[in-house]
Amino acid sequence: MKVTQENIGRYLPQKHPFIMVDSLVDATETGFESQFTVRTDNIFLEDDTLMEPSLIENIAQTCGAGFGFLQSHGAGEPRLGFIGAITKLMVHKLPRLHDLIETKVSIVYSMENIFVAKGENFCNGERLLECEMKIVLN
Amino acid sequence: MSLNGFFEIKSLTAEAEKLTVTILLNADHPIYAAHFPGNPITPGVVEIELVKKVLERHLGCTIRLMSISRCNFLKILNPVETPEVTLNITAIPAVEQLKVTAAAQHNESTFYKLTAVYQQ
Repeated sequence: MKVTQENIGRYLPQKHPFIMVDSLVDATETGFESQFTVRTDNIFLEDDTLMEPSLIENIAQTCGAGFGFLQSHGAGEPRLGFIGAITKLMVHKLPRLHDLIETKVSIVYSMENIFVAKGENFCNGERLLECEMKIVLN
Repeated sequence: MSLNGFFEIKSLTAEAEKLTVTILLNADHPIYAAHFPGNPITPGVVEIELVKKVLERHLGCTIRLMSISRCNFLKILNPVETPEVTLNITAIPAVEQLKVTAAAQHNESTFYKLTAVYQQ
């Protein structure tokens, strides 16, 4: 575990209710892993199903927390990051209330403050959503 | 439901497969206080969701996102500076599917463009 739920807010500029990752499990130069539990207060929960905006944001924030961990180890203000583009997105399955989402991101390309990441969310080993994402860090 | 109170539809016109929807963003919604504090910016994932919500409102039924081949976020959408946005949507029905392209615009600015497939 690299960053626990208690400390994840130090690595992300977003605040509740727009934090869509609980903890950072791993972070290396080539990729990140995170965990996120579907709770009743998630703003993208509809009829106990978590909708895809939360899963996409979860991939983006896994990147944000990962870059924050590698670059500053939580010191200073978290950098703002923006999604520049999303491609190759496929929705396979949506998670339900109380499910544990495990997310894996690999960095495909990076140049200065621009990154291309491939992200996938899983629940019980089943793939939920996958996409590629261009992220621009301020 | 997600995005309750986030936006309202000011006008909606539909002509064959083309839909033109002008929406008003609510800068006081809690999402803007969280993304980001003191610096309200419409989250990209919410911009994508707005297209779905507007389509659902027009169709009168729920739809499911299946895939996005591309979504480009071209310009930051701040609800204080730009409370009104027009979604220009083309929705082409296929077998149990809806092939959608959408662009969010105001005056000369384009904020994002989406190409996606939904299940009806």
